[in-house]
Order: sequence, then C-alpha cells, then structure tokens
Amino acid sequence: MFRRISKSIRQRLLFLTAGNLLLMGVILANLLSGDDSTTASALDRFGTVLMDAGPNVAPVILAGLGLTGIIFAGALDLSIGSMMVVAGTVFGILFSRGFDPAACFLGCFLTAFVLSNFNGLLIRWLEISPIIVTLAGLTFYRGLALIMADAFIPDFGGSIAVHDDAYHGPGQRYPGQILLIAILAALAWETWGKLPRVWLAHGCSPEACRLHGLKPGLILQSTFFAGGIFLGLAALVDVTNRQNLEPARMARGFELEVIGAIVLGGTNIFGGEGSFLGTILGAFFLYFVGQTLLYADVDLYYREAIQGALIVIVIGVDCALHRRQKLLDELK
Amino acid sequence: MRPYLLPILLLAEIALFTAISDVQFGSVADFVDYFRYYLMDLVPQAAPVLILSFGMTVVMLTAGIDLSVGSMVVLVACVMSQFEGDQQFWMTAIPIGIGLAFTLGFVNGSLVAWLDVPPIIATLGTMMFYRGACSIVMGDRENDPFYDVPGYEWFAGTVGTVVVVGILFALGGSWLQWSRWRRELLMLGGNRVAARYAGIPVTKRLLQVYSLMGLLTFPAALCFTAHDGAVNAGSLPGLELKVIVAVVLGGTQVEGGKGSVFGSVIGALLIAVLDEGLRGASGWGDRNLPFEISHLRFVLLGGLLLLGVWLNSHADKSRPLNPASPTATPKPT
Amino acid sequence: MSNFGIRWPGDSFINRGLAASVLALLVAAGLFGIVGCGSSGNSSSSGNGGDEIVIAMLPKLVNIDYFDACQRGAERAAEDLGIRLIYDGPSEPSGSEQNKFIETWTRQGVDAICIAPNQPKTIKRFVEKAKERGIKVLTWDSDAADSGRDLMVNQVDDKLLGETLIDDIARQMNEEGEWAIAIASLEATNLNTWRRYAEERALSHYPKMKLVETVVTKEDESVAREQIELLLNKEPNLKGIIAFDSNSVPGAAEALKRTGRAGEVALTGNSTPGRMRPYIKEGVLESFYLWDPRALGNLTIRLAVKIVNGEEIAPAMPIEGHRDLVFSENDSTMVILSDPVRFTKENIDEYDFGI
Repeated sequence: MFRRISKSIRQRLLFLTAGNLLLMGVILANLLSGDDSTTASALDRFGTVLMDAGPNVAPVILAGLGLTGIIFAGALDLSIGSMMVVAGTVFGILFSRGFDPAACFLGCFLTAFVLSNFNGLLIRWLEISPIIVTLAGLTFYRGLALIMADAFIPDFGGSIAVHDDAYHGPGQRYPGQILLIAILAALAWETWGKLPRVWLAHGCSPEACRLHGLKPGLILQSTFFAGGIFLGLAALVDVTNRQNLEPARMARGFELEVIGAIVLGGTNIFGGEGSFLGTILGAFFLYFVGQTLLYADVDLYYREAIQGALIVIVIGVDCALHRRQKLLDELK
Repeated sequence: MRPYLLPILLLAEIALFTAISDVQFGSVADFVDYFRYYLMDLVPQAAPVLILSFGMTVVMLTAGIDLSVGSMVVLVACVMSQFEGDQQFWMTAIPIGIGLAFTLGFVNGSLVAWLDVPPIIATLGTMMFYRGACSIVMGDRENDPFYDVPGYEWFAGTVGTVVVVGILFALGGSWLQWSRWRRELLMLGGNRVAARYAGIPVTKRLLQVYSLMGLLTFPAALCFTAHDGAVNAGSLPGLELKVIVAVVLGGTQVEGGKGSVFGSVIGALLIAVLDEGLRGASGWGDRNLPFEISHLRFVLLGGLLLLGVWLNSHADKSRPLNPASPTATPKPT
Repeated sequence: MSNFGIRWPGDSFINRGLAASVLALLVAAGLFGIVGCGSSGNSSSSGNGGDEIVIAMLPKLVNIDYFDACQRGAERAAEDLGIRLIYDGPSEPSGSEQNKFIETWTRQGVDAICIAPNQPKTIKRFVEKAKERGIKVLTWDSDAADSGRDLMVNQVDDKLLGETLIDDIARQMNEEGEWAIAIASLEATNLNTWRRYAEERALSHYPKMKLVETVVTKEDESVAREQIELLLNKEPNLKGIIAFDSNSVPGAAEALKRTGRAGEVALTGNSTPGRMRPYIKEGVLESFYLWDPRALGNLTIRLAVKIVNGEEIAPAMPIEGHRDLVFSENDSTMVILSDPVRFTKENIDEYDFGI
C-alpha cells in the first residue's frame, strides 16, 4: 500500500508522523519540567495523555474515515455534524420513551447510516453538486432534529439528560476498542480492498469509469453507504459519551474539524488522491496541537489563532513544495 | 437559468410572511407605512451579506470559495474599534481598516495563487486564524467608539447603506458584466489549464480576486459597525454560511465558470426576508404550530437552498439549448 | 432569441425577464391585496388592537434549558395577567442577531421588550429607537446599563455571586492551593462579570490561593468534560475549580468522576439542579448555586406589565408570588430577584426549578 500511493502523500504521512511525535515530545518535556512533580508522576501523566487521545479523537477519526471515502470519489458531505445531531436526537427520544440500551444504540447508528445514504441518493437524483446538497443538509438536519425533539419528547426543554450508565457503553467504556477495530478494518481495506481504488478512480474521472464499464452512480452511492457505516459508529461513540444531549448546540463545527483532519492528511479535497492513514494521522495532529498549547501554557487568547496559523503553514508549505510538480503535470 | 424565477420566489416569500406576521392593515396608507419601515430595517440588516456576496460571487466564478469572510469582517471591525471615536477616526481608523481588509484578502490570495493551496482549506485555516486574532486584539471586551464618530451614523441608515450597496452593484456590477476580466475569470473557473494555455495570467487573477474579496470586507465592516455600534471578538457567528448560501441561491455555480452578481443580490434578499419573516411570525407560530417556529429557520434555509439551486439548474432542460449556457450539456454522472 | 446567434450580456433580462418581472409584481400585488382585505377592519397598523398588552421577551439564545425555564415562568405570568407574550431569540448568542429582533418588534409596535443582551453596548441604538416609539425596555439576566433601559431585573447581585463562589471554594480548599476557572465563553458579559469579582476577591482575600488556568468550554458539556480532564491531568496539584455556567459544572463533575479525582478537587459553580442531581447525590461535589429561572422570567413579565400600565416601581413593593422588591445598592433601576440558592445533598430535592 505504501508503495502505491503518490510521493507527495507519502511525504505528508512522514511529516505528520514526525509532527505527532514532536508534539508529544513537547508535551512530555513540559510535564517533566514542571517544578513540583517527580519524573515518575510526569511519565504517568504523559501516559494518561496518550490513553485519553484515542477516545477523545474517536468521533473525528471515525467520521473522517467515512468522509475520506466520499472525498476519494470526488464528492463531499458537509452535513455530517448535523446528521450526528439527528442520530443523537433519535437516541434521546428512544431513551426518554424507555427503550432498552440496545434499541437506542441501534436507532442512533441506523439514523446516521440512513441519512448518509439518503444524501447520496439526493445528490444523484437532483444532479446538484454534493457541496450544495449537503450544505442544505447542514442546516436542514439541525432543524429537523429540533423539530423532532420538540414533537416527540413531552416538555422538551432544550436538552435531554441521560444519566444511566447502561446507555453509555460504546462512548465511555469502549471508544478505544471501537476506534481500533475501525482503524484496522479501514487500513486493511485500503491495502487489500478494491473498492477504495475504484472510488479514487471515480474521483479522477467519472467518465473514464463509465467507459471502463463501471457504474458511476453506484460507485458514488457506495461511498455514502460505507461513509454511513463509519458515521453511524462516530455518532454512537460521540452521543453515548455525552451525559446531556442538546440538539441545538452539540457537534457544532464538527464537519470543519473532520475536513481539516482529512485535508491535513494529504487527501485531495477534489477527489482522486488520498489515504485513510493520512486522515488518522491528521486527526491526531490537530488534537495534539490543541494539547500542546494547553500544556505549554500558551495564553488563552492566543490559542485559536495559533491553531489556525499552524494549519495554514503546514498545508501551505506542503503545497508550495509540490507546486512546480503540479504545474508541470497540469501542462503535460 | 431563468432570471425571473428568483424575483418571483422573493415576492412570494414576502407575501407569505406578511400574511402570517402579526401585522394587520386597515388602509392602504397603513400598508405603505408598514412596508416603508420594513424596507428601512431590512436593507441595513442585509447590507453586510449583500456587500460580501459581490466578492463571494467573483471568488466562486474562479471555482474558489472564501470561508474566512466572517472572520475578516469582525477582525477589521475589531481593529477599527481600538481607535477613539472622534473626528480623527476618519483619518486613522478608516485608512487602517481599508489597508487591513486588503491585506487579509491578499494573504488568502497568496495562499491560493502562489502556494496553490485549495481555497476551501486555505480559507478554513485563515478563518480560524483571523477569528483567533480577534480574541488577541479584543480580549473579552466589547468596544463601541462608533457611536461617537461624527457622520458615521450615516452608514447605518437606509440611505447610506443603499448608496454603498447601490454603488457597488450598479457601477461594479455593470463594469464586471461587460469586462474582459470577468470572462477571464469564467474561463479560469471553467478550466484552469485551458486558461493558462489561453494566456490568462491565472496567478495574478486569483490574487486580484481574493484581494477584492478582502477589500470588500471593509465596507461590510463599515455598515456593520455603523448599524450595531459595537463589536466583540465573537460577533457575527456564521456569517460566511449566509453569504455562501446567498450566492449559491443566486445561481452561481460552486464549481466555477458560471454566475452573476445580480443573482446574488436576490439570493441575499431571499435569506434576509426569510429571517425577518420568521422573526415576525413567532406569534402566528405559537398559535398554529406544534413546535417553535424558530426551528423552521434551519429547515427552510436548507429547503430554500435546494429548491433555488434545483430550479436554477433544471428549469431550462425542457427548452431548446442555449449555446452559451454551461447547463446545456448535462454533466456525466 | 433574435440576436443573430450572439448572446449579448444581459439580453435575457431584457427579453423575457422584464415581462415576467412585471407579471410577478402583479401577482404579488394581488397577494398583498388579499392579505390586506382579509384582515381589514382593524384600524391599527401596529397589529395590536391597543387593548391587549403585548410583551416581547428576548433571551440570549433559544433552545437551551436555562432560558427555556425562564420562558415557562414568563408564560405563567402572561397567563395570569392576561397579556400576550412573544418569546423568541437567536439560535446563537449573537448581539447583532438580537438587534434584528428588537427592530422587528419595534416595527410591530409591542408594548414592552425585555432583553437579555449578549452584547450590552450594541443594543443602545435599538433601545433608543424602541423608546422613541413609546415602547418600554427592560433588561433581564444580563444588564446593559448605558442603553437607556427602564429597568433591569437581575437574578442575583453580580458581586455577591462572584464572591460567594470564591468564598465557597476557598473554604473547601482551606484557603490555599491551586485553583482553576471553567467558563463558557470569553464574550458572555455576566459570566465574565462574576469571574472578575471572583478573581479580584481571590487576590485580595486569599493570598495563598493561586489561579493556574482558565479553560473555555464553548457552551458544550462534552467539551467541558474533555477540557477539565486535560486540566486535571496537567495540574496534579489542583485543589479547586469554579465553573461559571450551566454546562461547565456538570462537565467538570463528570470529568472528576471519570478521572477519580472527586473529593480531592473541590468544585462549585452555578448550574441547574436537574443536571447536577446525580453528581450531588454521589458526592462528586459539595455544593452549587442557582436562582429560580422560572421566577426570573415571571418577575420580569410582571414588572414589564406594571411599567406598561404606568405604575411606579419602588423598593419594597409587593409582587404576587415573589418577595417584596429589593433594589441593588449601587443602581436604583436594578431589581434583584433573590439571593442565590446553595444546593447541597440535603436540600436538592426540596427545590423544583423546572430544569
């Protein structure tokens, strides 16, 4: 797999790996240099940082893996955050009506899965660009979640409190395991599976796919199908990790976070190029940047600006390095 | 695209929301009076979106997008709010605001044009960066020097905003409509490689486009600060989304190569009327709907977007092909 | 299209667009005519017959449980007094969105507008505009002192709350050690006012206490939990946390519970009993504070009606269902709803705030 991907992505993967290690190093150095702690306790706390990273980035990576596939094929889904909100609202409605945990989990997963497939269908039926359809979905699903909560939960007051450990299984107890399985499955699929390569082909040229005898419509739909599975898992992990579901405000800006991770991972936003591994590394990179700013005691008011600047610099430098090659390719 | 579809949609929207608002008319004079106030409120409210939609349309012609517009407007406003509100304001804050607005746009432009970063990513990054810069400049304060600047209030009034928006669209829009520049951008957005072969200076054009977008955030910030009188680091959340929806609704294609600034005006007004209508109809909603009418804001915005774009791209299909229209050849999907 | 195969810019507007636009205008005029005739007979353009009092209430944002409880209290008052209540607001805590609501209601000619401003300075012009048209303006929950509002209904004395919180945490920490702050946003005025009073008092009264970190929780309980977990890991010697909003406290409590630092790190703040009940019962935290948001909404509407009716609002005035009016010491136009209620394991079941 590593040999098949292009040189620029390979460099990006190496950069992200190095970057992640560097950021971890900075955190460790900060912990060790703390004035009032022993080395053992610093190492212990560094362990906690690493152990917490998995569960905390799990929703971003899970949704990111699904969206990466969709972007491979040249489409985009901006409504993932809002779909997660609908899934969370369904979970809340089922919970408030006294369904048992398994039914709630299933309802949450299926809602996200079905909506993702519906997005795919809508894009094909209306023949409108995916950005527009899912941009509409971004606001539409948010409103839908609010209306559903209002209509199906008596005395809905803006939030649904879920204080019952049985309903928090996937998000609180097993997020790391779920994430690990999903990552391994995605990487194995990328290495040995055929479909991701077909998606990439579709992203390069739908017309070429059609001439080759493949069905572009089906390929596009299959990305949303697979994306739906990952998004369902992401919704499950995210929703069950919350004690309190607020349809109006949960998962705000989630799509931008996920897209940031994907693009940082070297996937071409216009399709046809990319890797699942990059998305995973990109998500961890963004997460560790936030962590480092906290551990390095950077002033509160400067953190967001530094995060933004870092994304711009990393991608800017990378693009600049490959610009000449790209221009030559373009004019071939 | 049928140019009359969107105005009809707009008028239908106004009529519908007038019907369900809590206002009743006894006479024609009342009616005229109400609409006078209605427009006097609506235009200044919509001014920032209207102004920005001009720039965003031009950006989208080149198959780009600018997610950082909201952050740019607020950053320009924040920096301008650092100055004392007196006569000197015109000599200090205003030139600095213009310069800053241009610089911010130029940074976006250099990322896109020189470094070849995909626009959605470049401006996603700068959106965060500029918003973060607002926090650095402002901290947790809210500044309001704008009340005290002599003559500043003119930009808050209906006349002032109509003049600013009018000049922009009448002069800028008609120049754009007939300029070679626009046709070069259209070609650039339609096929960048072809544009290079045709001798269009792609890098230069992209720089110009994003700098223009940046520059336009200054009048937007001017109208916004004059209207609201104060600014803080968290002002105008979600403005970029409104601008993008307005432009797309107006018939501009996100893939580039097609669009008109005049369509964007209607798009921006469609959204403003929708917002205003839902605000006015809360009494009606309480009586007739099983849920809060404000929830419909999200649903209707999404629905309107899909409907508008679908109408724009599909209403023409049954008619004989217009050779100049890119929709004439159905996309292979 | 008789243009010799050349498509001139804008020609489609001239040929078909113009005719169609005229048609559209006619259709719209017809629609307006129907609307106008359908509701004729009422002589007022403001939409309110004059006999019914209409009061508009603007929270900082909608779809949040705290303001939802306020709404329920306001609705109860509106029902009792036989007035019409319009309750609406922005979906994000934005000052300029709030201004648009004020403009809409000013145009509709309501009798009073009660505002919980996100940005106190920005509403000034709109309050002036409303007052020019004879509309009474009150602020509640968060003040805008310079806006020219008629009255402020404050849930609690800002200074008292900030100092109560720091005193409580100081007592639990034995007045020494490291403490931290969790706050929803750096722009919310009332939260930051409380934060400022707390910080000032910590500096002047508790020299052995050291503020080590402030985290922003973005009005999301899940973000709050994650941020506090980080904070707990970063600061092993942390002894206390003050959380200043209804999402940060349960988020912090959940973080303490999950990291097993409950009991070791003291926590207090203001949040809703509905969300905090499990944590209080488990002993994750000793206490938190709140006032009755329903009473806040209720009192605001009752006072608004009195002002609309031209009654003078004076200290010690009896109000149905509330204590006699208490004014702030520093501001003669600020009514204080009550002292904050301190919730503990013992008394949490005695109160029903509806949230």
